[in-house]
Amino acid sequence: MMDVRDIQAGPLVSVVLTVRPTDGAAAGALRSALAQDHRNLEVLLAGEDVVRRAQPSELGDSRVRAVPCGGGQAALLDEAARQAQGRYVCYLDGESAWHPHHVRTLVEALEATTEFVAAYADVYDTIWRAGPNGRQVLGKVDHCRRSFDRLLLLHCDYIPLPAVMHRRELRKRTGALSEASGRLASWELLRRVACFTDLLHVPRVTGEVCVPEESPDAGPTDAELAAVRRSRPPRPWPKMKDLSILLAAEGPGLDAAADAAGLREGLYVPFQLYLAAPEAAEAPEGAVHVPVGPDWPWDARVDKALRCCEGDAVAVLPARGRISAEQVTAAFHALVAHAEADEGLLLCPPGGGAWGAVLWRQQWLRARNNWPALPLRRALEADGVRLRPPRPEERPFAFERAFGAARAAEEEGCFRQAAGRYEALAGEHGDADGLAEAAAESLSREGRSDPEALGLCRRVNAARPTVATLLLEARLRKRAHRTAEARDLLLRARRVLQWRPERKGPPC
Amino acid sequence: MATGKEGTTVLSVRDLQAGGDARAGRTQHFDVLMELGDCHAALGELDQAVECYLEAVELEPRRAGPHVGLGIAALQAGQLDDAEYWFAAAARHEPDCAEAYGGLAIVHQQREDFAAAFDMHLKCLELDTDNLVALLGLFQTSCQMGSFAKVIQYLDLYLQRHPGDTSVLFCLATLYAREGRFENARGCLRSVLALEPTKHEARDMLRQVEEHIRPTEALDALSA
Repeated sequence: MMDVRDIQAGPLVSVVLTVRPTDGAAAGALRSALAQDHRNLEVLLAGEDVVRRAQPSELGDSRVRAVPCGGGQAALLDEAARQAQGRYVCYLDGESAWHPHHVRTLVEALEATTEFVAAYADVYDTIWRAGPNGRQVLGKVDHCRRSFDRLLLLHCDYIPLPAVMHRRELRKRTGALSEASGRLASWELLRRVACFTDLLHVPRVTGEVCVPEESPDAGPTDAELAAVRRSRPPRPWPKMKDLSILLAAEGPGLDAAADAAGLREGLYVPFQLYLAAPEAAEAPEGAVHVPVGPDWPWDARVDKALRCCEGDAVAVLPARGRISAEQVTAAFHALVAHAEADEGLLLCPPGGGAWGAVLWRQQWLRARNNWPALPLRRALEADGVRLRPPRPEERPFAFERAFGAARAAEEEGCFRQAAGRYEALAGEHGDADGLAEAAAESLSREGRSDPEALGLCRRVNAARPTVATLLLEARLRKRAHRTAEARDLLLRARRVLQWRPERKGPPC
Repeated sequence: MATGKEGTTVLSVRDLQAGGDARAGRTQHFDVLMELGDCHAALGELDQAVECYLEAVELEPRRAGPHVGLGIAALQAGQLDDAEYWFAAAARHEPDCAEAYGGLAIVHQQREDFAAAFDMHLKCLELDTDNLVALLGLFQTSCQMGSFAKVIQYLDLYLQRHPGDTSVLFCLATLYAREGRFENARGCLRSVLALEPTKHEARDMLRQVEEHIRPTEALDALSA
């Protein structure tokens, strides 16, 4: 019999478990939730026929509450969030499971800080294939061991939702999710969350997400991707600068509409399009139409549209020539992260001639108010705005590029050079364990630096062992004829690989 | 990169993962089991080794590695029939697996079927000329059969890549001496002693070899 005082220790945590008809192992996910060593939980089982799909013994647990509702993932997440009562909310689905310390780890991390209202731990991708006796686990690899990077999260779903916990009130601010985002609803949710808060990274593996070796899934559709990228939570966003993109092509505006459609597919930062055109019909879906006369010059169109824009920054696209989504993103990123207060970032189409720029909205408005009679660019210059193109070193994803360069050096056999680059990156960007692992791997491939590689491996395994790091250290010890030590490390790795939600206790 | 159904490209999390982790993940469990099996076997924990190799076979039934491991464990337990079964299975799954033929050679050798052992050692060395176990096995079976030409060829090949291997140099010296090629034998033994001056058996054999050479040299000097 469970002690009530034991159940009520610590804050109440709402576990949202969404179950889709195609999920194969929802029972495992539910069992892993109920086996958490933080006992003060309510488990909201959200899905179309959840009562039928759960085991009677699990539904008999007073902490489990069925939230029968239809619709896609977005609807399930929204409905469960509406009914959640805990101080914190965290998420599971039919293809994920937590180790018993998951909830406790994240609760402790969030309770110890006033700076963060959301956190995430590391999870394994558990790669499996169908075998004669059910699923065979082929490996458990880190999903993506990275500290929080807002731009990266906007670009790709590098944090899986089952790794995340946040304060319940945050969900009210993120607004309802878009049904059109389909299977990407969890990514949409995290993109929205990132507009309001940084996420605290807890570098410890606390769960697993099942990934089939050969996925029958063809990946997200363009419509789902577009829906996620168009999705915008209610403003204001304390942690994200909003970007307005202003198209004011001269003439009837059809070119501008085509440009808008192209940009919409490639941009991953939250943005709002404004199309200054004579006819509303020319505005693509989701764009704000700013009516202008058919014979208005470009400057006049921009002036009118600027007064409608609500973004913190405004990208005014050139009158002629096409600007890519990458150019807009690079200029926006340079403005937010690198530019001086009096600088603006130029957008120049190939071939030259026309110009555009990304500036803070206040810079645009002040220049136009102070110098209404001057052409737009002259007005900016007269107001002291220094326009310049983004510099190469200001491009986003500096870490990813540097990591890629180290990886390329490793692939070319320059193992020591690669290891040096990984270690230098650790000094600049953090993520010390992941980069130490990469350096150790590279040194072990070199074959002449085993003691150095072993030192790095031991450090990682003392702090944050994974199957991969245990295997690497075991191989190094075996090469040094320390077979018994290698065996013990491999036994630990095997225990992690054999862990299933139905097994009691931690994997390692 | 992940590609949307209609062709849009989006950076996937797997593009960011350290060093093909996702790819390595597909063989990770197998690799752990094989390494663990090898450790158990090296520590004499045969039952645990067999358990690991059997699990590995379940994961990758067409890979030779765990079959070879099971064959070696059976050999260590003195179960020659089982060992032959596992090594043969390994060779069937991966016809280029040198260890499978090396294992079969040892099985035949232990059954004193030296001709079959000789063939299997040769097959192993064709696939892996660096395989010292096969090389020494070939040497032993040759000694049993009294046929040395092939062995000398493989020992020579091996020594071209490992000129400092005194045990192989010593074997080669023995074979040259048995073939009556005393000059070659003396060369090998001098190399052994240059590397290992205290190797008494080499010094003894060199003395014997020189006793064979001396009369010939005396005759040569007289005729000159």
